[in-house]
Amino acid sequence: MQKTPKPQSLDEIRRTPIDRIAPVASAPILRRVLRSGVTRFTAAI
Amino acid sequence: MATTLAGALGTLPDGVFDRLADGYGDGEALDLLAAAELAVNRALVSEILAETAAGGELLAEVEREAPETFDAVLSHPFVRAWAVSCFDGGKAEPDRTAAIAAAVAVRAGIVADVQVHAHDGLVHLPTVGVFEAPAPQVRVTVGPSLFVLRWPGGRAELPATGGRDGPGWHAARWVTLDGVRVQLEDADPYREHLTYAPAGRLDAAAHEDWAALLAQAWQHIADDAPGQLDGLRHGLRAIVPLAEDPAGGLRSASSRHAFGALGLSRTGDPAAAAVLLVHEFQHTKLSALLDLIDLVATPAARLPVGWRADPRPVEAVLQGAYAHLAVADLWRRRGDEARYRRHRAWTTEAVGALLTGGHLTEAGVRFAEHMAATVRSWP
Repeated sequence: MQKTPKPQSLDEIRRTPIDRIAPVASAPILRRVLRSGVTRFTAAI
Repeated sequence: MATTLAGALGTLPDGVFDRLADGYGDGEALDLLAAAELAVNRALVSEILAETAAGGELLAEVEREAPETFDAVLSHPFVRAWAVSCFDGGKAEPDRTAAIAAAVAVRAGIVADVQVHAHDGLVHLPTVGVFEAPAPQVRVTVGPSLFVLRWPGGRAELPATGGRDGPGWHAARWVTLDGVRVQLEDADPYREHLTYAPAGRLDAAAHEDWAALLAQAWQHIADDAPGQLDGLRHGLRAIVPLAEDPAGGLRSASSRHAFGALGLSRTGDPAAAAVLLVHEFQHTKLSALLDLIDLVATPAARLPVGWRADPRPVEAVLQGAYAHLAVADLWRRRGDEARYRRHRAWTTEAVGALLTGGHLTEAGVRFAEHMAATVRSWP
């Protein structure tokens, strides 16, 4: 399947069909999400 | 001319950033954060589609045919919790892409026929409902007025949109708050991503009880935290009923990986529920902002805080201060002087520590200074 060339931002990802988002665009988001610091919260944060 | 604040994944208009930093955030701010979170979910699901064939073609098709419904399902808070678990060493269930595609098809009435795997004996279609599957795989067939589940030796015909319970089928529960439809999420397996155990599925009576509690809590928020109301209307996606605290306390929770989902244990005190909803909504807003823009410069550092005995990571200090700021404002408006002073002091001390230790980025300093200015504006 043909992939779109290098979407650079979340705006572009929003406009790109789900099956055409290039790994070069999604991989940095995945890396950032996976390295999130504090991920769970309660009223005792 | 309007300017923007740029972060690692995107930008926010200065005014939107500053309104969030003040401790509130209106509908425009929450719409922008929600749009960014949807894009994150799209990116994560696209990564998973590279690893599984399950439902991939249907997912692309339903996006083309019903983009708004597709976005609504993909925006469900626990889509991200599931996606993250596929990559972080948690439960890896990439084939849930087929269930997401089926959920969009059911909601939009799109003709579809897709095989969906059961997990722990359940086929869960996000935002639609959950089926106690008699077999490891179930075929989901959908049409404009048709929703049928088939497995070897059996079939179940369900209401076209899945909106009513049937044999083995538990429809998604919803409440309407101030005209906004919010899911009472009692079935998504990834709701366990919240710190506390979830409550079980809601029967009709429990559903009514929750609807009444949340309607009253919403009115308390309107009275005592009016600056939060517009943001909640635009950002709240789901309330997750939590198991009750055996010690009798109230529980609440939220997650960086579940934008717009607030966990709450049942209570007969809607005014107390309002406090917790405001508290957790602060976390969900700040978490979405942190996805876009780095605010913390020294993530490994720990700082003392007023609300706990142990030093906390800088990001947790910022999260706590942001939540306590909104809660202080609520107690101020309620006229509870002691609680107002306590939450205000916690906020002031935490913001002071964040600003004096070089713990924040330039954007983080701007954020904390806005928080400090809000507190200073109160009597």
